Amino acid sequence: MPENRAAIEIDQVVKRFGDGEHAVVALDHVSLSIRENEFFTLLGPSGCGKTTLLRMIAGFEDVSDGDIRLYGDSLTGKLPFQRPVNTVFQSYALFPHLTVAENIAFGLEMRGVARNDIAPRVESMLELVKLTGFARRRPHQLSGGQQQRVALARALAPHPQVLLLDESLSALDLKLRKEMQVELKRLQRETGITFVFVTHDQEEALTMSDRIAVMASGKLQQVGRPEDIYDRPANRFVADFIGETSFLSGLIAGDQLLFGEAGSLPAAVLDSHREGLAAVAVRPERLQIAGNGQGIAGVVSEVVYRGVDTVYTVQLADGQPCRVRKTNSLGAARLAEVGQTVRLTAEPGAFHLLREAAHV
Amino acid sequence: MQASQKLWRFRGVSSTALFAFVYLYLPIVVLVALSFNANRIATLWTGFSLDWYLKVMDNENILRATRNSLIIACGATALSTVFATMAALAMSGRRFRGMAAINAMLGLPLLVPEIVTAVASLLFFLALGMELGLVTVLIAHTVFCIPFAYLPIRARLEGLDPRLAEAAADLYAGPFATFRRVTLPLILPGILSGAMLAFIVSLDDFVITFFVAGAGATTLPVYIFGLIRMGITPEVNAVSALLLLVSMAFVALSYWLGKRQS
Amino acid sequence: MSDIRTRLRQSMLLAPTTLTLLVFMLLPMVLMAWMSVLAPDTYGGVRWKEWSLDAYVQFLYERDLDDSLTLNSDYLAIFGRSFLLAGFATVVTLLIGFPTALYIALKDEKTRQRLILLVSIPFWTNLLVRTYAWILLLRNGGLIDSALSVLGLSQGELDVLYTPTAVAIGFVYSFLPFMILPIYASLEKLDWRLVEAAFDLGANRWQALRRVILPLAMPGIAAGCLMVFIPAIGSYYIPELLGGGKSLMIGNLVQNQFGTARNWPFGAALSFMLLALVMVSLWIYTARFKRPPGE
Repeated sequence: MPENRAAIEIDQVVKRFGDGEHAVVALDHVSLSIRENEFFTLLGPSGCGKTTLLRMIAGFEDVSDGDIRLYGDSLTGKLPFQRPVNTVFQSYALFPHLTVAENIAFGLEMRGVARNDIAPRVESMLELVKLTGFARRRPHQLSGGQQQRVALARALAPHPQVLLLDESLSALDLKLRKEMQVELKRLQRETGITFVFVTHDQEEALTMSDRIAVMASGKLQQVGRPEDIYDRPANRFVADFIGETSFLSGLIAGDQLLFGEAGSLPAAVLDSHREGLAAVAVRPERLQIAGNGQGIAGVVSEVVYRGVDTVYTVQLADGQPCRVRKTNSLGAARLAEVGQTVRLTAEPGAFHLLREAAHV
Repeated sequence: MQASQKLWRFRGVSSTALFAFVYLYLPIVVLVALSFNANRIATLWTGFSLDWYLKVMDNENILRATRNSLIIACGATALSTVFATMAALAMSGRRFRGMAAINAMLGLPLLVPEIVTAVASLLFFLALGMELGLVTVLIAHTVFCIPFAYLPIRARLEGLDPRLAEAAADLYAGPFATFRRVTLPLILPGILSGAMLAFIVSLDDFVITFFVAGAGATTLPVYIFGLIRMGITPEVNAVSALLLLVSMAFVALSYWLGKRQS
Repeated sequence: MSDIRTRLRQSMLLAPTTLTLLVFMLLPMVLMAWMSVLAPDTYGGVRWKEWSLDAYVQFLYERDLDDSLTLNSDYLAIFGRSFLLAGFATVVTLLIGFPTALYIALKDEKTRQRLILLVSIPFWTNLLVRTYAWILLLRNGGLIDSALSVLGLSQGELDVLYTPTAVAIGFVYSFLPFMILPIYASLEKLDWRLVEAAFDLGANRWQALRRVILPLAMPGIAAGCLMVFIPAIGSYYIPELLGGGKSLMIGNLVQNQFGTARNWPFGAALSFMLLALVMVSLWIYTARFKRPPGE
């Protein structure tokens, strides 16, 4: 993907609630830049500050310190209705006293778009979100998914420079959510608008985003493409929050990665090298169960069948638990049963060496 | 199904409820029925007649009292509804010191016995040297109408999703446009409902009016009170029934407005 | 938006209401308290510069010709009677109101709304006129009297009107909706699964009512009691019309001081004592339930 210019620059932004000694820091010197035409996701557990950051971009929260710029212009001091960004609210916030068409037209009217131009614009928006024919309905006559589409159309209608989406899919059920994920991607491609999406759902973030910013307790943890975040997590938090991970402590000595009584693996399974005690992270699907001989030894303590795959929990001989995931093929037997002793191997680069020190 | 319905049948509850409803409505029904009675000896039914209503329409004193009542009710409703709407908007905004005190003050007219308010107002007006009349009644009514108008508006505002105003601001509406296009239409049922309640309590008030009205500003309830003290006549039945029906219509309307769109 | 501008707008919006209530509600009450410790003028009014506690002394004592004080329990008796009548009305409305509220709360949504409208209508309609209707029903030769004689249940006159019994009937009738509505409001919010849980744990209906429903409905019950007791104890025209115009209750006594008796300080003192009584019961309520009634 070509590197586009920055649409939003978040520069050393701090958000404090309350004042003096009782101040709670919701955002702690966060800096990142969101590129034009990008589908950018702010990902993190609830309370990590992602929604606060979004509301600061929209203008509903003041910046305590630092600056937010839109195409180079500072947004500080600008009220929400003076910013060319629109929001899709978590609960949609559709005006209950207005029809679908009137909801979509609202932003256009406020911007002073000529009356004659509004109707066709509303019509094309309805077409864009596949709700043609729903113009005269009221929000309460629509299903959750349809309301979601109206909220999208309403926010897109004034052609904002950036569209902000606040946990916009969380109210939908799983199936509808999957549909809307595809739909959102399509809308972003077709409109060419920069999307900033807030979610706590890591799978959703991985599926939809061009780039993801992982946040925790008001601090930025990592920014990168989904692959970067998944394969090369910056720290234990990111590794743990995204996908399934086993954390292990081992000793790197020369060309060996030693796990005490469990035995050793060649140091080539690591993605980088550093001598001494090390904390490593490994994805369950990157490990193999070998019958005998090579690899590190352990006893299977749990087998969970999950339809598409089976997860084996292996208690390594040095006491550390580790998980292995195998995709199920039709009619294939289980690789191991509870109580069975197995050996685990991995491909080169499967173990991610964490920067932090290992705790023994 | 049978058993589960039986589970919720508490002994004596439905018979007490039946008694309560009969108790509440029997006097009203009797009063309205007797107002159509042809007989002058009010409690004996002899035939249907609209005579007493016609007599009421002809009675200059009743008409004057009605006019006073309407002037005061309309004035007090307008003032108290505007004041209450403004106050409700402020109270739904950012918290501030003294909010609790203002809340308590708004509840005061509802909690203080009417006779106390009446005496206090009377003494106040007299001490100021104000002449008792329509103006003093209007002031007193506005005071006790404010909480009645305030409560439904406040309730409506409380039920309003704050995200709606944010959404309007996000869609380029300034504070005034947000109020006119989003907040006002959404709380309008509350405002109407509050205005109607204010109108009814003003129209129905007797005690406070009785104290602060003076000779020139006799309202309908005050006039009716005078008639009742002089004795029971079919005219009293008729004018009472009229007042009753007007308030009932307003309550039903206000109730319907409150339920709509909520 | 800047802090100062928000605050300014807020205070401007609040100004008309707060000023109206301060000047025409609170100030008059302060004035009333003040007047209660002034000396009365001969033809009504007060002597502004003459302090006097006579109004409060007069409540308990009679001043004889030689200026000595003898205990006079007449006014105390009126306060006592007002208390008793209002308390009686509160208990009876509760006994009728709670089952009625429960009955309504157990109905389905549509029926509930209709029944509540049915309770609300008398709540808002003219109390004076509704009181008057009881004169038609209660007086000798009135509807109840005639009905009873026709059925052969009584001979001669009913003689209920113009007695404390008539006043009590009028109170219960007038204030019943004031009891039903708050109780219903708290029953409506009640999570009926809790009652189901009580049944499931072996409680019978009475036990479920006493151990689960009643405690949870307590705020509503207390609010209802307050909303009946306060207007009842300060009532003026119900005892005036149904009690026969004697100085039966505080309200009549107060009115009398501004009518024939022309003793403003005494009237002010009486209303001030009534106000104090009400404030104490409100204070007890808020201390117990941590919020004002009706919320």
